[in-house]
Amino acid sequence: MGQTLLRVEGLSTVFETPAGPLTAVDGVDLTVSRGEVVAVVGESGCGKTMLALSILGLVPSPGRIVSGRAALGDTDVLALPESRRRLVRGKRAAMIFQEPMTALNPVLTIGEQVAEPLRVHAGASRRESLAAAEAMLARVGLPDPGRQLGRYPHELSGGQRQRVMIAMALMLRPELLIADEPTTALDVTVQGQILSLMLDLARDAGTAILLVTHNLGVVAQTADRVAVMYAGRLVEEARVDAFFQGPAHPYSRGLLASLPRLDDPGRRLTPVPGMVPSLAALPTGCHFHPRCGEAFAPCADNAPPLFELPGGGQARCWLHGA
Amino acid sequence: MARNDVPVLELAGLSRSFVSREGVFRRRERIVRAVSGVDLAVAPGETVGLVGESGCGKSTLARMAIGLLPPSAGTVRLGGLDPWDGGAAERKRLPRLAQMIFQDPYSSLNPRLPVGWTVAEGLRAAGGLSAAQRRERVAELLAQVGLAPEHARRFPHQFSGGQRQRVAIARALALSPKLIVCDEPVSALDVSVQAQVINLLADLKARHGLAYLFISHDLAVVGHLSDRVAVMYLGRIVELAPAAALYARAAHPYTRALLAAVPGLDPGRRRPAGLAGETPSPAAVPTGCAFHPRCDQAEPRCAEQSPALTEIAPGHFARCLRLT
Repeated sequence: MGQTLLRVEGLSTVFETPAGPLTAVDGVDLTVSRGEVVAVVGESGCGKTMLALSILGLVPSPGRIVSGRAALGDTDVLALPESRRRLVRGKRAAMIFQEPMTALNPVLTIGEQVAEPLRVHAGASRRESLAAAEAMLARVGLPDPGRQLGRYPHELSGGQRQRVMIAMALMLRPELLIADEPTTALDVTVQGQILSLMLDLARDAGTAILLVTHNLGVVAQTADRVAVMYAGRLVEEARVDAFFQGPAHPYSRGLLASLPRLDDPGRRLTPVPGMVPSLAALPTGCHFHPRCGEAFAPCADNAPPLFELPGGGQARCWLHGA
Repeated sequence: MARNDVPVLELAGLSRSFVSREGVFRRRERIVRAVSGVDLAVAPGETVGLVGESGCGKSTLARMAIGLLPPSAGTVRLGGLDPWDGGAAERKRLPRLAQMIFQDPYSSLNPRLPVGWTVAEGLRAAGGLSAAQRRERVAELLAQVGLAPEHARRFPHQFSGGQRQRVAIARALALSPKLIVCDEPVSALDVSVQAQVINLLADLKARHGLAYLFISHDLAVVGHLSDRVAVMYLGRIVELAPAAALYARAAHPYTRALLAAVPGLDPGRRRPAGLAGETPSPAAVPTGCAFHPRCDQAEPRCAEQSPALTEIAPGHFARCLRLT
């Protein structure tokens, strides 16, 4: 893969609550190369969405980034004042969300919204930007794009709205696209169309993708590398082929063993016992140890660092310690 | 499967339409055919899976199957009993014949009542047990779903999503029904917890000889639990077969597209295959075969003739002109 585009180092995001501070993102290190597709996976509450929002400085109140940096090329996004960060977000990095209806403005036409990035960031005229928007809507596969310009978000189906989001996000050919569960709300036959579309357009524009998802099937089919999060921490990072051949962290193995598979119906599932801990009551040491079938002496008291794996990749587990 | 027993559920020609009012003044009426002419039987101890995408009518079918929603046409029989044709005494038997669990256990449990009270609700309504006996039965039910007796005093918000679904299952089991209709019971759960609930449902079936009508959009989950699987598209069953046959030899182009669209866990086979277009609105079902506008094998006749559900191999039915 090419040169590093995004370098996240020691990023921590904390929410101040009446019950005390909750660490949603806990010292995450992650890199994305130019043009690479990196998936961040984990179950609800693991911090994957908060990591994505933190990278672009979009943490909602009462959350706050307490340490770390997120560099896009040479720019430390988090060190910028909000006004300059907004320029980065529009032009160099874009984000799409699970539910496009909440990200689209219901009272503006599709045309105005898709054309906006060009007017704001590239200084295009209204005519130019609308013509470009129409071309972009054609590229994302919306039928009769000229007519779509004048329609409103509620007139479109869920799949069409997500196509509009992709058009808006990739309009300025950003270096990085952060996609948070972009197909989770869609039917499975539409999911395939949208993922293929996103990958094709991103590849054409040279855009790297940070894909946040809970769906390991989507990871297998789209990503070059995968990062697994558990209780705010990154617990494994690996190339996708190596990961699906043999995940290194017991939590990753548990996730894969929990999935019913089309090619092996009737196999007894082996779920991870127990449940994801609350951020307000995280276990000591390795956060996963109370649910881990392989926990041993150091796990309850000592938080493991990320160990390098022999075949590449890293795992935050004492089993892989020297 | 005891083939001669009365089916725990028998749907015949089951249809349901809704009137949708549209336009600024809601004067324009459109008929939405949510479910059209469904014939389906569930034998005692059998699990029949029902898969389909949003808007295919699977949840409407579930609500009719359990007697929550009257059909526009056709009949429902639960253990031989028609929930819409009979007196109050007959309706009182329904809770012992069939129960239902829903996708979101938070909205199906009363937030103001301790869950023990909710689990005991059916027992109280049925009568015949003292308060002490009911408490004992609730403790036994909670144990069966992997919860502790003291959980009975807690409120729904004190449970995780997986535990709430366990409570909903305990409530469904209270009157020892023959059938549980499960509408997307694990869709809201994280994968590690989803597997726990799937195993629990499988164990309860083995233990009590329960039958399930198991509704989900997730083909892998349905295939995992079901003896037979029915695939719905725009209100109709388009394919029905033993689970193994359906997953190995899907015959209907829609079923095949659906199976191909599920992203597999093998990074070697890249790119989930899509299906052209999106599901039309049930208010504007295409003529002929409802799937023909999206079907890559459609012929001119598919736009005109409606195919019937036809047996193409023993126990394997498909609704496609090209297969008949």
